[in-house]
Amino acid sequence: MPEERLSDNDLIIAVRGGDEDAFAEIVSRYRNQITNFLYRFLNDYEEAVDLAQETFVRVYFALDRYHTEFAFSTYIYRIASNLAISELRKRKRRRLMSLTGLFQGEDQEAEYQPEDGAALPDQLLVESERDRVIAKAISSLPEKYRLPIVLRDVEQRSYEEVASIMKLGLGTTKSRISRGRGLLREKLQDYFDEN
Amino acid sequence: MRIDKGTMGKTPVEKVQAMLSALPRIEPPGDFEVRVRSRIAAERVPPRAGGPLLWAKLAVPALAAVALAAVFFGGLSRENAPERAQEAVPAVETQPLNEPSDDPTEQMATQLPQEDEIKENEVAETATPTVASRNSRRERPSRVPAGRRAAVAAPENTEEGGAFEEAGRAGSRILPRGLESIDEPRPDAAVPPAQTAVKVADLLSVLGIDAERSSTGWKARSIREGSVAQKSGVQPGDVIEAIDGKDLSKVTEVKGSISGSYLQVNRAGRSIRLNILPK
Repeated sequence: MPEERLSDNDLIIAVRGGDEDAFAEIVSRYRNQITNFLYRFLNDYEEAVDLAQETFVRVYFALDRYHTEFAFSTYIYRIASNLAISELRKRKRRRLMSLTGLFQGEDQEAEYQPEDGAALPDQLLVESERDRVIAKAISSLPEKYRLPIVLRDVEQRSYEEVASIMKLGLGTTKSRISRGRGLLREKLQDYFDEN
Repeated sequence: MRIDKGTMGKTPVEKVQAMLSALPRIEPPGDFEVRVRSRIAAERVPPRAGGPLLWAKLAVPALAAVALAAVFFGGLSRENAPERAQEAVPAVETQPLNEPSDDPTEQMATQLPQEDEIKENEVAETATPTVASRNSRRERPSRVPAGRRAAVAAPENTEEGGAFEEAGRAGSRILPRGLESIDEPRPDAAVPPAQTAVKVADLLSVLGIDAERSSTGWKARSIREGSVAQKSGVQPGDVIEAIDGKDLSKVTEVKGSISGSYLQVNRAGRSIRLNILPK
């Protein structure tokens, strides 16, 4: 492994040249971020880990098609986002079949979110009640607000990068983030009142 | 519920932002990279069309049909029946299949092998070399007694579970993903599988074993829940010495054919053999 820290693009070029260690370095750099992002988006640890692995597998096989003029972080978050959205839609298709009628009406914010049945790692077993309340509130957000909120406020990506990941205009992105925060505030209103 | 002083004096939206950014970071498990590598190794060789279950689904009804025809009509010829029927069905009274018969029941009996041939051809068209290599297994001398082979040819439940069970008994093992890829040659693989080196760590990971190399073999650090290894009885702390008789103690990669039949592990100083069971 080289001593000086290579840029993501240097690593990608190295991987294209057959350097497996360079790919290991990419995994090492992004595994925590991607897993955390997917966990906060899906609220399911096992699924998050599985999709994070799938993200890296897809990155590996698609590196030849990656254009280095874009930030690699944008690229990998976009892959992870697509996988997460796809998973979310699969879940809804699977489980909403028997729940048709529950969410009819205009209020799309009342989107059904399946229970999180995945085993939690030790670190989550000590998660505070507040964190659980927040995680539940996030996972109850509609997908179009949840994704930018998690990217911006959890993963601390810039507005520009969130827009790029979601392939949306900057104004639309900011608007969704703002709307998402408003929805979260409403969902957490009881918590605020208590404090 | 505790009061978060960090959010005092802020607007509700700012509080939301602060709470989100303060959420604890979640990390992946320790074997994350190994699993990624394992998945990449498995994906490098594209799966064959339909996989082993498709083969079993086609083969078992055909075998059952031939066996039933043999039992009830007794009109099959060992010389003209398909190769599969020869292996599966004990010697029966012979009658040339090509000769037309006036008896409708005998006509039915003679049609069954043709159906079998059609299915064979269909499989051959979609994945000829792979299936051919699987078929070549059947040409090997069978270790199953002839009488038992006939019993195997007529499973009780041939629709769903029968196919899997039948395949397992008949020698076409259902293997974990990755193992089967190095078992048989693939026409579309860039490198012939016999020459393909597979990292031992990846191989064990496919079985569900997170292992590190030691002087005597590969020591299992953890066993994945619900994995093939767990089902087969591998325990954390076991030292994997060999797979299918191939010594793993001094290598980091293995080449050649591995069917994934059994592991030789050292447990508390005692060497034991564990048969690898399908997941």
